[in-house]
Amino acid sequence: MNTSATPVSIQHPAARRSGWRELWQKEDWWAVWLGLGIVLVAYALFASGHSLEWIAVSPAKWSSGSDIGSHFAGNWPRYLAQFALWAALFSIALRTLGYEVRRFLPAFLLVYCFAVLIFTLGQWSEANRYNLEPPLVALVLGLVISNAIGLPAWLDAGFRVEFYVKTGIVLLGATLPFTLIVWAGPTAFLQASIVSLATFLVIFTVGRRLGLDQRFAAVLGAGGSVCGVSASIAIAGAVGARKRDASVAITTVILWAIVMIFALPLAARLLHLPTGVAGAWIGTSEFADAAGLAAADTYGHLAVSAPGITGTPEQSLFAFTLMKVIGRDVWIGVWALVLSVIATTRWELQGADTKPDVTQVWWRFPKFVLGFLAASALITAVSAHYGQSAYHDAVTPRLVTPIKDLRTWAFIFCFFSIGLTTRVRELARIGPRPFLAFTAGVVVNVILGFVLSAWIFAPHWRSLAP
Amino acid sequence: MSARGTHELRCALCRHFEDDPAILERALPGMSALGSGHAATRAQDGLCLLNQTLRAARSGCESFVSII
Repeated sequence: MNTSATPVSIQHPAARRSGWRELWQKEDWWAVWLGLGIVLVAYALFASGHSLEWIAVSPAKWSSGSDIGSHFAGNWPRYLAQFALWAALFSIALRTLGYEVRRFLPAFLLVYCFAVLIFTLGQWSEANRYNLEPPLVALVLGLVISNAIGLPAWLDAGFRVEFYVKTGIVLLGATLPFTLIVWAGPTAFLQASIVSLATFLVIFTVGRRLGLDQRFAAVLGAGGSVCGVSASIAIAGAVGARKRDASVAITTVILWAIVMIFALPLAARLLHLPTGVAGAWIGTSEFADAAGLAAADTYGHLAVSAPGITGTPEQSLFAFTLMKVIGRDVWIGVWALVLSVIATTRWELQGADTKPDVTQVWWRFPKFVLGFLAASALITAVSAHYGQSAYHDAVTPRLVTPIKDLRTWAFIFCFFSIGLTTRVRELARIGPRPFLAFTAGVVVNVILGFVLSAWIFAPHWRSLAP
Repeated sequence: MSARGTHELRCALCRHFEDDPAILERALPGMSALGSGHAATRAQDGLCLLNQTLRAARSGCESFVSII
C-alpha cells in the first residue's frame, strides 16, 4: 500500500475539510452562525429600543378574504424584505458549502412563496376544522409537487431540509429558558437512552435472526434508535457498511418517519395526551429531527382546538426538542465509536483496515446543538434583568416573539422541503427482511416511548412550561 | 507530515474515495430528504467507489491507490 508522506493538508478535500475549516464547511456550524446572528441582532435592536418585529412579519389570523387581503396590501414590503433577508443569509452559507447561488435563489423563491401560502392557510379561522395544520399541508403539498408533477433536480439547491431545521432549532433555543433545559434535560436523556438502546437491540437482533449482515443490522438499528438518516449514514461510515445497505436504511427511515408524522399526532389526539407528554412521546419515537418537529408542531396546532387536551403548542415543541436533540442526537458520536470498536474487534473483516477513532465523538457531534444552547443561555440571561410583568410587556413582544416568528418560517421551509425531496421513485427498494427488522423496532419504540412519556414520566412532561 | 497522519488518512488520500457532499447525496437517494451530506454527523466519511462501501476517512485497505 502506498503511504507516501505527502502533506495531506493540501492534497485532498477530506483532509482539507477537517479541523477549523469545519466552522464554515459544515451546515451545522452555518445554522449556528445564522441562528445566533439573528438572535444577537434581535437583542441589539431590543437593547437600543427597537425590535426585529418589522422584518419578522407573518400572516395574521383571518376569517375572510378581505381580512387577509388587507394584511398583505399593507405589509407586502415587509415580506419582500424578509425574503431578501432569508435569501441573503442562506445564499452566503450555501455558496460557501459549494452550491450555486443562481440555482438556489429560484428554488428558494418557490419555497418562500409556498411558505407564505402554507402559513396563511394555517392562520385561517377554519383551518383546524379542516386539519390544515401548516406542517401537514407543507408536507403533502411538497410530496404532490415532487412525485406527481416533478421538478428539475437543480432546484434541490433550495430544498435544504436539514439546514432549515437546524437553523430553526437554534432559533427555538432563544425561546426556551435555559433553566428548563437544565431541569428537563436529565429526564430526557434517561428516557431517550432507555428507548434508544431497546430499539437498537430489537432491530439489530431481529435483523440478525432474519439473516442480515451485522453492519447492515447496525445501520438499520441506528436509523431507528438515534437520529434517523443522519445516524444511518454516520454508523455506515463508522462500521464500513455497504452502500446499498445504507440506501435501504435511508429509505426505511424515510417511509416510517413520514408515516409517523401523521400517525403520532393523530394517536396522541385520540388519547387526549397533554401537549408536553405528546411532544416527549414524539421526541422518543420519531426518527428524524425534521419529521419529528413536523409531528410535534402538528400536535401543537391540533391541541389548540381539540377539547380536553391540556397544554400549549410550545410545550409540544419544547418537549420534543429536549427529548430528540438533548436526549438522542448528541450521542451519535458515542454510538459510532462503540459500534466501530465492535465492528473491528468482533465482526468479520471486509478487507478494510478501520481503526476506531475516539475523536469522532466530537467530529460527529451535531454542532447546531451548541447554537441551540447558546441562544437559550443568552436570552435567559437577558430576561433575568426583568421582572415578570416587564418580561411579558417588553421582552416577549419585542425580543422573543419576532425570533419565534422567524423560527416558524424556518420550520415551514423545512417541512415543505421534506416533501419536495422525498421522491418515492428514486428511493432504494426495500426487501422484506430489513423492513420487518425495522418495523419490529418501531413497534417496541412506539410502545415503550408511550409508556415512559404518558405513564412513568407523565407528571414531568405535563408540567414542562417556561 | 507525521507517520501518524499518514496512517490515519489512508482512505482520504485514495483515488477510490469520494467524500463530496453533493455526490454522496446523489449516490444515496433520499439522503437529502431527512439528512444531509453537509451534516457534522457524517464527519469526513465518504464512499469507496471500488468496494461500494461507506468508509471513514481514516480507514484503509489493500486496494489503496494514491490520489497524488
